[in-house]
Amino acid sequence: MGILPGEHQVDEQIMEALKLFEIFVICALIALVAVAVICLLLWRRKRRRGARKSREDQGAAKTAVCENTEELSAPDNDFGTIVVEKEIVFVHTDEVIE
Amino acid sequence: MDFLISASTDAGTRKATNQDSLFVSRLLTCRGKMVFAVLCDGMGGMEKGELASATLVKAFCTWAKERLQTLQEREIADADIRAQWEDIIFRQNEKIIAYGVQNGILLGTTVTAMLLTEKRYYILNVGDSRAYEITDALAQLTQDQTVVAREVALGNLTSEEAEKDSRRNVLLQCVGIKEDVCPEMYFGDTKPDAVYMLCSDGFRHEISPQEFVAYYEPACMTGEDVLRAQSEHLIALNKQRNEKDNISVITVKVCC
Repeated sequence: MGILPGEHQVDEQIMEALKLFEIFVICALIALVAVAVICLLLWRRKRRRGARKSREDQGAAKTAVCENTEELSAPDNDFGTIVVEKEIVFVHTDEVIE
Repeated sequence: MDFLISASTDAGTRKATNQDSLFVSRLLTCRGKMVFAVLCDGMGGMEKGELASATLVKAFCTWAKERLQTLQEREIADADIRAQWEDIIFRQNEKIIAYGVQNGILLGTTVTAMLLTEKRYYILNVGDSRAYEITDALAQLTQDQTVVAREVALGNLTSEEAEKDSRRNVLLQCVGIKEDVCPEMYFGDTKPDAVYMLCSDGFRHEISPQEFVAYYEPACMTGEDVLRAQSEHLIALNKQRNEKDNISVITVKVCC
């Protein structure tokens, strides 16, 4: 079959358009993946912050119950031959790790 | 020679809990008067920081009651204090780590401990709480074990940049987190008429060295009520300037 005048030029134009479309699709896919990764990172960060705040709130509640701040100006501690003239203590829990 | 002592602490404006623990006592011994002080800053972002700080403070109190008497009967050697205080840190570090593992939580604390005799001071430090000596100038006696302090030492940051660096609260060392804790010791001669100050990082972030010297000018510290009033003023100033952390300070004035 013979080639009509101008037919070759049309083929080249189609090929060029297809190449441009291919580049566009690849760019769109890359952008989509980047957005998905950013969303995932933001979501994980938000979740970690939420968990940390929850832990802190839990700690606050426990501390408020057992707060014990005291200043001892007349200590009765037995230091042997050492005389304790004055002692000041501030602790904020009754618990101690044994 | 005599000593005036004072201690103050405040939860600050943002935190619901105060995780700091403090202990200071003035003792009369056969070698004259002494002051023993410990300040622990429970870790802010961690659970039960106040438990870690209280545990360590109580361990040092127990040491004072059980070991200081024997120690002060002869001249106190730097090496003896170092060995005994390091032993406290290693034992308490193991205990706190084990507690954290058992309960599935993270907890830790910084510590600055000081024994001040008429002749010498003995200081132990882990983390970013500090000890200062105030005369007509402010002298920092301890070095922070933090990322920014290391960067300053390496020449990668200036002190001014370090104060504003976002990593200024990141510790290289603290008690209760890692097994290989490395306490640092500092020794020196007690200066007559000086004011010695132990403080948590929350007490010093918003206050300049010049303000510390102005507020605690040794000649004006004539009584324990004055020391305490100045500390309360500085705590209020910190809160005005939006300090977010717990705020704690111990002050000792040497009187000749």
